[in-house]
Amino acid sequence: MSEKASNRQSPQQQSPQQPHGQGQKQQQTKRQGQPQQPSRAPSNARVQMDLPHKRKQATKKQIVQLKVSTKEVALFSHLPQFEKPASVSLMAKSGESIHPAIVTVGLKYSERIITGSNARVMAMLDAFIAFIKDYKTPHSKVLALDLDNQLKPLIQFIEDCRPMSIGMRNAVKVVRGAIGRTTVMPEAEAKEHVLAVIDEYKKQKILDADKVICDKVIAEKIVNGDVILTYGSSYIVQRILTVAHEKGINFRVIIVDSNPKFEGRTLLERLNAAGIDCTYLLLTGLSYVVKDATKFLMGAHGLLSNGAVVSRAGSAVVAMMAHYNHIPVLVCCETHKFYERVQLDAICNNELEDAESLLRDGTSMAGWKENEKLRVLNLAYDLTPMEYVSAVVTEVGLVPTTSIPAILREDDFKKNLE
Amino acid sequence: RVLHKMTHAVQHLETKVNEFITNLKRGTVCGSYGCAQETADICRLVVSVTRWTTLKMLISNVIEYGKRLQEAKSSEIVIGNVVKHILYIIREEYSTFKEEEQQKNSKQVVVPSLAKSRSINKLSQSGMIGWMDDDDYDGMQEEVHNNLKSIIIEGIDDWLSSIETLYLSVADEAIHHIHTNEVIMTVGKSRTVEYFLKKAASARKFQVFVSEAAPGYSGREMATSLSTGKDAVDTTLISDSAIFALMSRVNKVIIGTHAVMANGGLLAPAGTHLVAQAAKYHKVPVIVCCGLYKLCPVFPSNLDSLQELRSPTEVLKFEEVVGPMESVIVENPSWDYIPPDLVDLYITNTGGYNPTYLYRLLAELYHPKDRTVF
Repeated sequence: MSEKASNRQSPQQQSPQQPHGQGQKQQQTKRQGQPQQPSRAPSNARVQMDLPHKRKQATKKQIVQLKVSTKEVALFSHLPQFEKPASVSLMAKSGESIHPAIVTVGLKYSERIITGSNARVMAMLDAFIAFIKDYKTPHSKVLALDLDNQLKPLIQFIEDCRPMSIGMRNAVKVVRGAIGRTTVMPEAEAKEHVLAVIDEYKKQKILDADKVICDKVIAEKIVNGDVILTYGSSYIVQRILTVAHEKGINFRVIIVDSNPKFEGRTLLERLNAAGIDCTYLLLTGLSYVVKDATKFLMGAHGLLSNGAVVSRAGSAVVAMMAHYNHIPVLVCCETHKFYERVQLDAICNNELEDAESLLRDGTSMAGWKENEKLRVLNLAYDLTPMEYVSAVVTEVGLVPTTSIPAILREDDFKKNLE
Repeated sequence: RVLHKMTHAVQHLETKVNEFITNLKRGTVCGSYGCAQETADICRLVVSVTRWTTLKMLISNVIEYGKRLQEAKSSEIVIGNVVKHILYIIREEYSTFKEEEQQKNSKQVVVPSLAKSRSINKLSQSGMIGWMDDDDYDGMQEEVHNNLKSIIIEGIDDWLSSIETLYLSVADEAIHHIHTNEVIMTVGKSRTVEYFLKKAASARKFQVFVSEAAPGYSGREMATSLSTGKDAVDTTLISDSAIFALMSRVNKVIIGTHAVMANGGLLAPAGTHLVAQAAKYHKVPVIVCCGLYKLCPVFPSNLDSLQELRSPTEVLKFEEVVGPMESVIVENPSWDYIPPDLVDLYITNTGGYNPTYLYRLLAELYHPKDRTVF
């Protein structure tokens, strides 16, 4: 079913003027072999927080009333800059008919207990499964419409806890699409259908895809004597390296890390426990060791239609240094993280995190909050331009970054045939 | 009695030298500027206190003390620079002095009755003014010796006073380079850059992104001092990971450096290479503000000898490295080498230069014989 793709910042999904009956009609026409329209890219009208009416809209939608940050950085005035919500306020709001599974997962997102694009998607899907299992259609309501309406505040709650990742947005689209297709089914069958779609999505798009990518990289790209450079902590990179080590390939790893998250330390512990030779250093020391590396393996938060890679802040820096030292850069990313949006730099769209956490390590800056001329910026994501990436490893193969819109189109085409 | 005075003075020199060496080894001497001043003071003392009768002896004395100081901390290249520059000053003052003396004596030769064998020698040597005069008359007269000494010390004092106003001369250029509403990026802490930015801020409004430069986080100090006091600048502190992300909005990168190599490359605090490389991608000009005393006559042929690896505990604390983690290698380099093609402009106390021009400045700072003396 061709949906109007969701807005990134304010997840107001299908317009209410388009009831599901109409959608079904469109579906039928498609089945009759109509030429496929290219799916419309998501509208560029993302919530621009510096436009006053957009800001009002977004604030009204919020379930958890977030406090606007007192120290806004002007360069990012178009992005939401809120103070991190206290867990107490999140819990308080949960009284408003938010399913406990969703509350739990929202809290975990807010406190950064669950991090990493795959982990967040899986957790959200599991929470949706729990919600759907507990759902009962109220009297005189259609499941397809009502379940979707009940899902909207949950999605908004998750968005308030922490802005959703690219993988999460794609997953939400799939779930809502599945719900939309249950108009003619009785309740039990409908619920089964939706749960089956979610399960298949998890299995096919995430778990199996990871295995395929892992095997592909190990079989073709890691050889004896390799020195693998990696940044931060990516689940897929960790998996690739541990499995490659088990297979007996002789290599060593250089882990680059940075303030404030120090995610590289988690990767370091895990790789070290697996028995891999590791070197650990901070981003500032990169220029000293980069010449020794033979490959740079990175994970991604998402891949955009113009070939750019959205990943943890700092990965663009490492990719840049690797590129200038003629070291191939391999991005390992499942297709569910491909997003149909274009972005030229990391400022158009990003996630701003808590300024305090940046200052946690090392010397503190006393009195910075009172100083009007001093601000602290904590960016979560980074955009690696297309020219730095040698190849993207997906479950459909080793592709250049230019092929991403082609893969997106194929996916859409397949979806439209369903 | 004169002899007793001399040895006392030499003792004072030795104490000063040993104190400086200890401070260098302990790392309590902060920054190139402090090192440069200390080194110049010690060289001044060497000239005034040690025993020398020929230029050769003076030069070897200075080199001896210079070697001792440089060996205390080989990564503090400024020490070598200052000593070599002082040798240049000595040679220059000596040759000017000798020229004047010869001119004076040549007038005497015109009156034949007062001709001395020495003056004939000087006449024959009069053609050899310039750099070939290492050999000179054996044993200067005491008066000549004292004159020469005071001239040399004056030369060193002149140089010392010129570097005292170093920050102000560099900052004077600021108004020509920073304009309204520009976004400047810098890395870590540099006094020269701070003065530069504040001088520009007294006239124009702009903003600065300061990268914190882990693990020392010197950027935090820089951000605090830039945004406080008179002529405070709008500053935003960012993590090193956001360098590439924000570079698309930056108009200029202004950085300080630890030392400048003879080919125009930089030896700068770790993390600077990332900024310079990101600036190249985004076509952002990179400006380096530094005093000319940081220009080394050394070409960066062996970078490993210039690198200084600091304690790994700054990166990963000892307490966290337990059990299997003990086999992890942790690197904590202090310096980055930045090739000259990444730098667009050097602003020094004597003006602005392109990196390709710096080798010419070497001729005005160091004598070719002294360049590789240690």
